[in-house]
Amino acid sequence: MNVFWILPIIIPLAGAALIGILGKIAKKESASWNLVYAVIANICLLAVLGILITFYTSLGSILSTELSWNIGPDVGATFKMDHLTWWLVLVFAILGSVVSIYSIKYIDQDDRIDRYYLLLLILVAGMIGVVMSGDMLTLFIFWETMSIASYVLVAFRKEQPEPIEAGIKYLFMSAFGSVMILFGMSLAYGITGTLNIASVGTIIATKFASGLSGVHYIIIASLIIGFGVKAAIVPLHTWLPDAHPAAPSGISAMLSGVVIMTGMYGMIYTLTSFFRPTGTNIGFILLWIAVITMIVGNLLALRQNDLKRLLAFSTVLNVGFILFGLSMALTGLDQDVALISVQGGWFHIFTHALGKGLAFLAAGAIIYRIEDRGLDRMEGIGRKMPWTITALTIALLSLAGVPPLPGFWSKLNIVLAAVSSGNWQYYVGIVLFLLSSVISVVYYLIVLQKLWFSEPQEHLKDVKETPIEILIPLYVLVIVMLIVSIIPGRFEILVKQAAEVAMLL
Amino acid sequence: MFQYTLVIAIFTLLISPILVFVLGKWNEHVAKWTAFLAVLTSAIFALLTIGDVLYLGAYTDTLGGFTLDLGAKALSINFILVADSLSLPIAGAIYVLALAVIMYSFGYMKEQKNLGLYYALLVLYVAGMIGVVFAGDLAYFYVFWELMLIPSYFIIANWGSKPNSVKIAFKYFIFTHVGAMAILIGIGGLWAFSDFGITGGALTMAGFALSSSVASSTIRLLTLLFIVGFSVKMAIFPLHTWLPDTHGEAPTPISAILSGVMIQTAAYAVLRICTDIIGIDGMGGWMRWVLIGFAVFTMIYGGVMAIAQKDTKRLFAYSSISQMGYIFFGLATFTAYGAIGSMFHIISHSLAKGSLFMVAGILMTQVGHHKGREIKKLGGLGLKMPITAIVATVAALSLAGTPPLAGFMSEWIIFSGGLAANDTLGIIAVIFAILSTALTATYVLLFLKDVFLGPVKEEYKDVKDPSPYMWIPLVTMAILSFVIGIFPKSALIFITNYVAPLFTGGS
Repeated sequence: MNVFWILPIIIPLAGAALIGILGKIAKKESASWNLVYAVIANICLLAVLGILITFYTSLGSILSTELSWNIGPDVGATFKMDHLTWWLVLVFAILGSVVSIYSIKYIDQDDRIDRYYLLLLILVAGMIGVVMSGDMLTLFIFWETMSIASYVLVAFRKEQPEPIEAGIKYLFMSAFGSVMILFGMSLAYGITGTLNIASVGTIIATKFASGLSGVHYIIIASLIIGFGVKAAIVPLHTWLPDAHPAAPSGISAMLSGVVIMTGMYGMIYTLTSFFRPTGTNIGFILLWIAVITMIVGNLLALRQNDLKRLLAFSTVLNVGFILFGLSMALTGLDQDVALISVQGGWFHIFTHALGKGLAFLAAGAIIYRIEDRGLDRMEGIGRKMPWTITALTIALLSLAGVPPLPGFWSKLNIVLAAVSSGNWQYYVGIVLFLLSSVISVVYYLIVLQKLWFSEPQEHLKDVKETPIEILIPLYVLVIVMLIVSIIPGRFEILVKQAAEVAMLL
Repeated sequence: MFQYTLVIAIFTLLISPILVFVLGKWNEHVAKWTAFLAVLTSAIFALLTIGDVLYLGAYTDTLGGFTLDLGAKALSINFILVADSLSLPIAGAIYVLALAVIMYSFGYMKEQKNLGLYYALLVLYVAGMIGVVFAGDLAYFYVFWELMLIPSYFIIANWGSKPNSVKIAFKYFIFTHVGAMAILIGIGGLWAFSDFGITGGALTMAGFALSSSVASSTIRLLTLLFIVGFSVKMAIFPLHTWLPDTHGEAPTPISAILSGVMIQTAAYAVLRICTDIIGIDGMGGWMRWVLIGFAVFTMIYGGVMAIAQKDTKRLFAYSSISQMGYIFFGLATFTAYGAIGSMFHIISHSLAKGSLFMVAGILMTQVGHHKGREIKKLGGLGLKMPITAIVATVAALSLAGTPPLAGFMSEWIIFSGGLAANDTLGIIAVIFAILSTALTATYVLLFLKDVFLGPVKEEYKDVKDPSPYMWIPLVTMAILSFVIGIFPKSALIFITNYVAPLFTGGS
């Protein structure tokens, strides 16, 4: 066992420990100490990014290594670092490092900043752990690590009632989800006798070659429900529009951009590993869940006046898009076509993380200045802070799928796959998919026209442009988005390898 | 002969907006002339291809490309720009109108704020249209198609007539975007059903081949998706409702571009994609008659609605709907004459309708922003503003199809196309089309009478012609309208070269 492979988990955890110790040493809060915490967090996440790039450039061919410590038969920890894991860790690390810079200025009015960065690092470590685990026990442990960090971060501003309420709602629903995951996993362990996720699939395929039966469907249902709570599929999404707006904006970006995607990853990874070797058609159920998720997310977003809440509902919509793409992995459709679709799903996770992350950070920048989340209070603010609103515009246009921004390329993959599928359910689905996309443009435009084209109100008279410390991370994300716009082909290669892993090819 | 001239033409338009915007912060006069020169430079570079187009048939620029690895398949996206006998004359019309509109904006927009941004977006908008016409790859076609939308949305929302402009721009965006989604599925379908042996997963327009195993119902469905998508832009009934609002409320120079060339890029795209790439399988049989039915209805509907309008800009907007009916009719007849006539009508309509919108804008600046739009309140202005009146008359007569102006030639060829199909339904359709020409004549003549003729009203005795920036482009376009009407071959020689081979195999 080479510890080098699990550095992406260890580094953030070590950073968290360091921040915890420094937080104890520092007798009182001061700007310089806060800067130290932020720099440590940022260095940790950039180190993860660097390690990832090293993995890919020097060890690309063995990126499927599975590593395990066994302390007994089938009991131990198994880690993997395949292309899918690599791809998702990349997304986490990019967004995490941007958020850690952004938070320097954004939370300078709060206290307990050492804990903020500590929890942020634990959150990222938990997410990386979830996608790196190769067995169910490890996955569950990191799942809970990530979840607990996110509960506390949602309720970070504990002086106000709203974050506490949202945090508790999130805690209850998410805990229910964790129980369902545990239930499904224990059943899977029960019928196969192994914790290793990949082996579960092969054992089910040999033991139950005749097809799936009752207990399998219970496993499927509990995994969909369990991971679905975190992934915010309808009707399990109700915590999301409360929790995401209540959190500090940097954390909202993390939650909407990447944390819920671990739920999506967990669902698709376990279901494909368990049941794809046997052959299954539950993808069609997921397809319709995805369509319902899109429609509900859209309709709820349409009438929102709270900018962050609107973005949170738009996340529900995008969860639908992603699930739409990934669902084809669990159908019996032509493998080549399914691969395109799954590729589109994983790609959309990336482009959505960039777009929604940027949108939340820009929304946070507005809120930093006017301390109000209401869209009607922000009318005309584009004249006062043009750079911030330009970044928000780019983010929203990307989410709307305007070429050549990143959101267009990932949606294009899904559209091409659905059109090639030759299956009527996907034909109907893709029409609803694109209609949802148009409806989402409706509320993105409502936001943009309120911010750009209204006359600034009286209370916005003295509002100044966002401080440069906040603008820099925004424009780092804009640059990443422009890179993806210019060379989508490079990213498609990476994500294709990820999709092949998810399809067990 | 040359290399990369089209690439330079496009990138001039794509990059100069940044320069225009930055200069606009410093000095708006420099910015507006920079915008004008950028478009002029681009036009000159595009014109350099004329020799190749005339003698070799087409001029192609390829600037690399990239491949998206989609599973076992590939989607090759190549940045190819093609000037051929079809795209060059249409691009010419766009350049002429764009230059006219930029110069016209010097006078019309001078009261407005943030002009650097305005000219930057305007140039970007022109880049979108030129890109759509020159694109040789369907993926880039779609990219430019959306690029047309974004800057025009921001221009209409920010500089349109208050207080409705934001709502109207919103409607415009959503309608157009729905159409774009249909086109996106269509392009996806072309890729999915293409013959990978020939295309290798590329969406290059030249040499695109659908797989021979594709059912004809699928091909028809794809055609329908494209037609629906383009019909939104062409404003074919019942997808036209965005147009009168948008053209009415947009700043007048933008209305001229919208009506004059933008909506017609969709007609160009129908010929390019539905007729050329998909071919006879898509539009044959009963579908042709359905499309002709919609086209004829659109003509008459637009004409009748135009007669009922009291507002100059809305009158011309409905007139554009009616004229798009002609163009779509020519395409839907699916004959060589029809297609040639349609493409020719794009050119003559862009000159005529562009001029008329600018005349409406002149009335708004010289008479009054609101009063100048109400036809019934004007009158007797012909003697007060002779240049405007003459230009308006030329444009109106061209629109009504009076020889020897350009509009006559193009309508005449379209009707020949309707008759060339050689069956009863075709003749009936042409009869209705000619009837709607009478409608056109009615509304343009009523406009001329109400605005320019009659006794001079007391309140308008100080009205005069606008500054030269506003009438020079108009006079130029009126002269072009004469020239093309008298020498139709100047444009037809190109269009026929492209269209004729399309129909020799089938029909």
